[in-house]
Amino acid sequence: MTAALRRIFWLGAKELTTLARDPLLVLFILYALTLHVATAGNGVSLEVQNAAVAIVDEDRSPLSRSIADALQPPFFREPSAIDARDVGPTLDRGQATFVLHVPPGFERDLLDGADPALQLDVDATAVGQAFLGASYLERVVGRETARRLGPAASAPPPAEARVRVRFNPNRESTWHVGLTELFFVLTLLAMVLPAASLLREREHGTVEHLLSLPLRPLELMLAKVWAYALVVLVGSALSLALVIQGLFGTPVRGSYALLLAATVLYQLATAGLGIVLATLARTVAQVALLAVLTVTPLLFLSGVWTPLESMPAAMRAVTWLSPLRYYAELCFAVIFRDAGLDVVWPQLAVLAVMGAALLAFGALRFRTRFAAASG
Amino acid sequence: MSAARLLAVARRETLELVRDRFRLTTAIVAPVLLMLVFGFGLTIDVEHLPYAVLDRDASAASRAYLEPFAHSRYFEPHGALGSGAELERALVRGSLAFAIEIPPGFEHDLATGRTPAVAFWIDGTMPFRADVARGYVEAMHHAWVAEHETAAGPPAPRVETRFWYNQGLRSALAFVPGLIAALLVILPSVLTAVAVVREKELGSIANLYASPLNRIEFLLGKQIPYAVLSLGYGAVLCVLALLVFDVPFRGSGAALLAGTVLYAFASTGLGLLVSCFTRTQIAAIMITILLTLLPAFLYSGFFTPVSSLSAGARAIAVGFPTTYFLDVCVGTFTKGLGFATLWRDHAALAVFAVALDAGALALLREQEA
Repeated sequence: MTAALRRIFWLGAKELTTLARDPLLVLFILYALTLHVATAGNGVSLEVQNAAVAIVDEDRSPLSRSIADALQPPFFREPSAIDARDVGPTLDRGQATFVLHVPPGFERDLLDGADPALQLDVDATAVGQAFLGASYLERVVGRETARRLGPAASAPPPAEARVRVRFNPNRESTWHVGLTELFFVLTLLAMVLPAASLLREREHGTVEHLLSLPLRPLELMLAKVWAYALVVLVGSALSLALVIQGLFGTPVRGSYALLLAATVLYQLATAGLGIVLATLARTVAQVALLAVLTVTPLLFLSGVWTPLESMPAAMRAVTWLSPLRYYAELCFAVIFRDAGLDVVWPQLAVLAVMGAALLAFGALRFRTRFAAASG
Repeated sequence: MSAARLLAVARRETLELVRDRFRLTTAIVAPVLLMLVFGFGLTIDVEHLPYAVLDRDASAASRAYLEPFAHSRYFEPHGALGSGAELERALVRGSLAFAIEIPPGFEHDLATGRTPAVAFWIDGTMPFRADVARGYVEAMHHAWVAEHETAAGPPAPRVETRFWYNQGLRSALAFVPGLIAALLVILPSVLTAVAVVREKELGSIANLYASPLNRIEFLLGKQIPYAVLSLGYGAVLCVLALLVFDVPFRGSGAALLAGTVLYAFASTGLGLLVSCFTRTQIAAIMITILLTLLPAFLYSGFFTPVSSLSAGARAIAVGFPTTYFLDVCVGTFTKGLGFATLWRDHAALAVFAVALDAGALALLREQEA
């Protein structure tokens, strides 16, 4: 037993030396986990943020100007003024998502008690912004009108709504997007690195050398798993400290030990999945295709990008199979909501079962496929 | 440059792909599978938000206030909460999008004209979903206020909102054409990159040095089969969009075709470029996936309009071909446009096709020199 462990250790160490000899790949792993996560987290948000608005102001009244001035970050970009005849081209070319049209005599008509209407044209191919952005704009218009023209005191509403957003009150989208990006890179690396490394041995013919040694296929597999898991684990910890906490200021409210345990289990699950893929493929090129086919749905159907509850029921059922679903749920709960083991133990248990099952299945397939090939 | 030699390389590459049954099958199944998974699974129509209620008043008035929530398709009731501690636990567990807390004495305060405050606790873990939840609950509350208001407030101006191109605000109308653009960069670029690097890693590229082939013939010969495959993908994905996802095609077919041809060369050119500075297939695969997958979905205008991206992200968007082809896809499918509006995008795609190939050529030459 100890001899086997020693062999696994040394074989893994050999794997790490091989990795060190491919500086481009090492550089790439570092880049992906740090700089890439940093740029992606900074650039993207799914909420209505910086929405591009154009204004056709044919009124040129104090009211129309104060509406334009009220359109401000973070929700809106500073609006640009355009001509009435440019509305179509502006929307066609995607230069603005919203065009607000203030008709001539708008303020005067409003004061006279006439019932003027503003026109709001929305590029509804921007499905993420169209609905909410339009309602925000309507609210700005209502508020500015009341402020400038309304009577000084109006009756209080019968009841008020106090809306509080918990865990991320300032809607910092980098907190969420940054972690999502890290999940993606981590998944990709943890799945592809061991799988591709096994297939490379096979393509180069070195797997026969290894299998002719007094070495069981399981030991070979475990050596690859631990070596790459260690690399990705260290990289992810760096990314969490430098980018997620350092750069984005995301608070980690829960326990690091819990995150570490979950990450190790999740990596074992994805590495197992990668090895299953490696046994299905014969060349690195083949496993590349399989990896694209697996990673993409894994990421986008795990509820990290889009809320699970709005998926069709059949799709939602499929997400139960994705280990990322449990890992992401756990990480979000621990990091943002200070959840402890009492809350996230189901996710941790599922990850452990999935990790064990996928690794066992991978080992089984690996033994039959690779050992048979060498025998 | 000899056309015959170029075609010979292309023919050899095609044969290799066709005889590699596994690669061929996956290459054919991949776009269809991914399109179906994403097309059905990727929706940002936020509905069925799970919520729970802590009703500390338990009166007729509080029940009347809460009733519309239970009947809206945007919300899905997940039962009643017994205490503040239970509310907190449910939020921490993440099983709710939001919780409603009705204060004690709600009915009494309403009747006596003291303004009671209903508290809404929203889970902000996913900011996008939190924003939508907030928008919905505020709308529900305002509807209730409008019904119960005693004195009319100041007149609010009417806003007539017109949703262009997509009156029903269906995600599919924007996402499905966008998916065509995303998938048509990811798959062809990975396939092309691996095709070249494989020869490098296994050493068969030595045959190239021993043959009368020059670099252009080699690279174009490698690229053309995958560019053709990419056109085939385009056809299949368009058929899926029209028949399975029921997305209408309103614009110019010629503009879409021209864009697809240019994009096929741009995306395979990207694969060539990556293959030039990588030595191992593993590195080539990973770099290509990371280089294409995220910009294709996140920066191209797929989720977020390019006009709303931050300066850094916009720089990436401008430097990535999918941004332009997404304009062409969404433009021709949903917006009903043609060359008159989209020619800038075509021009940009042509520049990418040429520049990426030229870059690959220069890099390959440098390395072998």
